[in-house]
Amino acid sequence: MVLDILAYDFMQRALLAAIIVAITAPVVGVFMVLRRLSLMGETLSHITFAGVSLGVFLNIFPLWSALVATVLGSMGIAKIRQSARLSGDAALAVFFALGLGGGIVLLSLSRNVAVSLSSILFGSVLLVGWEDIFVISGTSIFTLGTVFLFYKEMFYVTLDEDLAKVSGLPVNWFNYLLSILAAIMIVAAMRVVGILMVSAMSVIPTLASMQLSRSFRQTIFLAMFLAVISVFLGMFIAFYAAVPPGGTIVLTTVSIFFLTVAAKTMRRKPNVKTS
Amino acid sequence: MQPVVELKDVDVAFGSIHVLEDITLTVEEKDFLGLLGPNGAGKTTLLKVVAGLLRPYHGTVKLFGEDIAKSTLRSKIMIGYVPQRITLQSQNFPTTVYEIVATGRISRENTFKRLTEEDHQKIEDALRFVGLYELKSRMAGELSGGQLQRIFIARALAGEPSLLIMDEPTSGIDIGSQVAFHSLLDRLNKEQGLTIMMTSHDIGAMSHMCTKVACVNKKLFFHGLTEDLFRGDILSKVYGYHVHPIFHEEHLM
Ligand SMILES: Nc1ncnc2c1ncn2[C@@H]1O[C@H](COP(=O)(O)OP(=O)(O)OP(=O)(O)O)[C@@H](O)[C@H]1O
Ligand SMILES: [Mg+2]
Repeated sequence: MVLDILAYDFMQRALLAAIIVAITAPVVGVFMVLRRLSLMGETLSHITFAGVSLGVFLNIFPLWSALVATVLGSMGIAKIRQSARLSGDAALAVFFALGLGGGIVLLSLSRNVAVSLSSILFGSVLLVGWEDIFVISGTSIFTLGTVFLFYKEMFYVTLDEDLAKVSGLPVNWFNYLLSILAAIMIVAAMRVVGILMVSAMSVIPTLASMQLSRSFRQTIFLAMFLAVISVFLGMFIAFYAAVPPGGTIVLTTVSIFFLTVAAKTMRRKPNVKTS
Repeated sequence: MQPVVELKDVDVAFGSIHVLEDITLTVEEKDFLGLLGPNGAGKTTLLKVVAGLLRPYHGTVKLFGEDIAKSTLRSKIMIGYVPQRITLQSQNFPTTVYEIVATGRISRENTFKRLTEEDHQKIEDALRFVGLYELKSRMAGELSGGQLQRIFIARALAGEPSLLIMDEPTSGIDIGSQVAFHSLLDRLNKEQGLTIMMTSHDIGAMSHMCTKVACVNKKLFFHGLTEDLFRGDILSKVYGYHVHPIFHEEHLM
């Protein structure tokens, strides 16, 4: 049955892209969730939207312009947060609006009708081409490689910035790095689930994993595993039920999250809880 | 011998509120300095300045002879820091006790490298030091407040720092563990010559352990040998009312 799916070229590419994203997104997601940067991810994905629209407008490959716009946006946000001239939330709100407004205007100005608004918003994994796979794999290798190299430092900064500073680590540098990784991950994941659901790919598997895992390292690997399962199930269901894969993948992820919550509740000893 | 910490004319303010004024203080190698002062006196602020977490707006801070205004980036671990209130970002932070203590071994020296056999040895030693080795695989969110505090003390010790800075490390720790902890600090200080700065509201215990004492309340009221603290009424001046220190032996023995 699974082989049915693989009979199609576009399905092979779609699955490949989705799996690569599923392996990568939660790795960044773990750090974003624990540093309470989920909202930043949401904002960045709107800047990604503007970047894609810019690419469409200028008639260049949209992932490249999205990558540049999102990385620049992430650094802008990090800079503003550090200088603390605007509160974190205020800065995010401004960028959020800027991304969405700019994106819509640019998109409507461009004559290129091949790119639909809905494919940007909700993903178009079935239309993934080899150039997309190339960008997605590149960003994935960069992200996984960076986390592998700086795993212990990134954990340390996430656990406690002050303590990491006292140990002499360049904490600001790691904050920029995480923003950039988030930006890159969002651009890669956008093709699969669309910008509206992109943070679901990174955040929800992490939240699910946190219900069950017994260490930080395990949290990362379990989140990857759950995301890959979601992608397989989601694509499979989408294929046979003829519904959009982006939404199906996200729904599967959310279902898995609820299952882990249930599993955790059942595992816990039935203590009498006074309310 | 080079002083470990040299503060000169240090002023610290949050906005327009002056918290520390004119602090000049030297900590020599092998000192065990106790910082005393009432709530809001600026003890935590002072320790943060030494740790490089706060910049004074006036004055200089030197650590091992180097001005820390130039850079707080260091290749080696020099300071072990135990903050006043240990909080994980959330109760659900998914980490084991061991993973926390292991951060004590991370420095710029071992960027790109995995922790070595020696690192793991030191981490386990530190866990044994605080008597919580059995908890090493526990999730941090499943610890009591006092246990978590001891884990962060272990974390600071694991890095084998040259200066140990502890902000009320014994608050919330049961009396038996406190006694064990005090004798551990005593050994670290006397046998290994570790320089220690700590705050506590337990004047009795402090006067017992510390070789030197500093009393702050915005300004530095006293800095000197512990035995000189009880001459005159320095404590009354710092705290603003008369203080009778309670000595622990009377209660414990
Ligand atoms: N981030 C901050 N912003 C503004 N004021 C602050 C800040 N941190 C501390 N203060 C103020 O600085 C003063 C000194 O605070 P500090 O924490 O150093 O006191 P402390 O001596 O450690 O007190 P405690 O015994 O309660 O721990 C207090 O009046 C406090 O209100
Ligand atoms: Mg304090």
